[in-house]
Amino acid sequence: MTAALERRARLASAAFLATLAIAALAADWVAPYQPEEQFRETIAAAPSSRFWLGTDDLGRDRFSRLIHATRISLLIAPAAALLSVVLAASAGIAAATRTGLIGNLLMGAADITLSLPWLLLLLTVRSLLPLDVTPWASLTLTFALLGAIGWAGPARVIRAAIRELLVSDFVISARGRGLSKSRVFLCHVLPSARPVVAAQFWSAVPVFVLAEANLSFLGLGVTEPAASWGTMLKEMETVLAVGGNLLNQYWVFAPAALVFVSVLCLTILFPSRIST
Amino acid sequence: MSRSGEPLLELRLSVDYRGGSGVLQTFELTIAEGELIGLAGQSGSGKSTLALAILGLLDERRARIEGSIRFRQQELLGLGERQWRSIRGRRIALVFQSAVSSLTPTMRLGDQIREAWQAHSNHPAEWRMETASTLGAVGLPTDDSFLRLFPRELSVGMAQRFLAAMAVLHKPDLLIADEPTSALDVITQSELLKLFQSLNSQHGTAILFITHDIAVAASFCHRIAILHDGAIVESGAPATVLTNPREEYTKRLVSAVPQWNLG
Repeated sequence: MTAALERRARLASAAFLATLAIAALAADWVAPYQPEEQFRETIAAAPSSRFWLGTDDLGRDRFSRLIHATRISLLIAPAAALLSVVLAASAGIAAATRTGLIGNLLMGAADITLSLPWLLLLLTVRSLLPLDVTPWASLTLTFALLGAIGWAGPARVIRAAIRELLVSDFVISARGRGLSKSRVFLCHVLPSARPVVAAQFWSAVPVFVLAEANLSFLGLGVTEPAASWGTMLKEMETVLAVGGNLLNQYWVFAPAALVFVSVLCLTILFPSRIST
Repeated sequence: MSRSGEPLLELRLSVDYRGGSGVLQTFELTIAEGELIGLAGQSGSGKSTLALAILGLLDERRARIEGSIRFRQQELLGLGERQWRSIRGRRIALVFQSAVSSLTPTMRLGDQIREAWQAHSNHPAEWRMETASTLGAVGLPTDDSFLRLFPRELSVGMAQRFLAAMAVLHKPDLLIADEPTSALDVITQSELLKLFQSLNSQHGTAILFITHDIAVAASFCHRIAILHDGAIVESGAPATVLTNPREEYTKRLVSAVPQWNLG
């Protein structure tokens, strides 16, 4: 990709995501209807001037739900990414600076987390919870699970980066001038590690957008009646279950298309965020 | 500065890294007060390890150190971090080979030199006056616009002089210069050597000049020592070592010096 084309792609991605974020934040004003509002006379309707993306099988306006779903999905992903990166940075820094037992324990925990069959684990955790958890509880749970699973990989990267910085010329030089270890760490090591931590965050966001969609699609994440991209994707399954043809109801693909385009935009935008 | 005849620094060291063979093997060296001593040896002979060992900076590299480092009759091996800190930068200072990578990339020059001053001074407010006179002495600008620069905005020569300025800020008793001139062009190199010489003559600072270039060491040191396989194989006045080397390794090192440099 040429530089000019790359710049245009980033600009377009930023504009798309910004529009999406503004629409999501202003969902109460932008959405024509309430996401849970049912129109029982028009169930599973095709798109019309009244319902731009049609209605689902409970008669809820799909467009309104999609806007509210965007709010939840776009909130959960960065929030979970932030949680996992904060956990990763704490573990990575502790493991890099405490090379003894604590460091080994932390990295052992990271290894175990990375080797867990976490989808099965999530199924187990979910099965232990009552079926009628409130949407907010499911939202918090999804956020916490994503954050708790996502820390291990970034923790390894952050630990390696810090260890490399600790033996770099400028850090040894700073210590050679008589500065305390804590000052050297806060003023010389951490600022240089910031781009690595930021990169972990920005690469986690698209992964978590997809993870939320997958989890909720499987019924392990956000639950009805709350709308998220994942819960809306479940509708495709419903159409298939009743013998419907997805191609005749292409509007059902709207949430899938939104997930795809948003993740693509985040991925395009991501390299420009590392260099800042 | 005391000139009691007692050596400034007496080293007897063995250093090895975990899982590797010994880098320094019963390395012995004595440095007198105010002495300019050149330590020459090829890459990988343990020169930089020695520089870090003298300042107790090998902890992050997981090295094992045995022996003794006596500085003005005080044993340094086994000191706590706080005691080490009172020595580093104030009594023994260090200048690295790679000037640009030795300056913290995310900090402005002014912040770095102020921090270096305040690490050992009871008069933190005086940093501006002190740094101005030191920067002036190494031929660097002293105005605010210079102090606001980041290291990446300096040429290699300026970065090396800035690093040297920070190292001599507290007028240390011993300056360890680890290949400080290797990355410099000949003019900047000779300016830096003059700076070291004036520091030595004005303040009596002893200098351990570590280099792979025996000719540069011989050009301004009182004495040169040859490091080979982690131990000193020969030491003496530059003229003696260069014209009448005893050891086989020294002969090879001397024969590798281009003839016109011997002048």
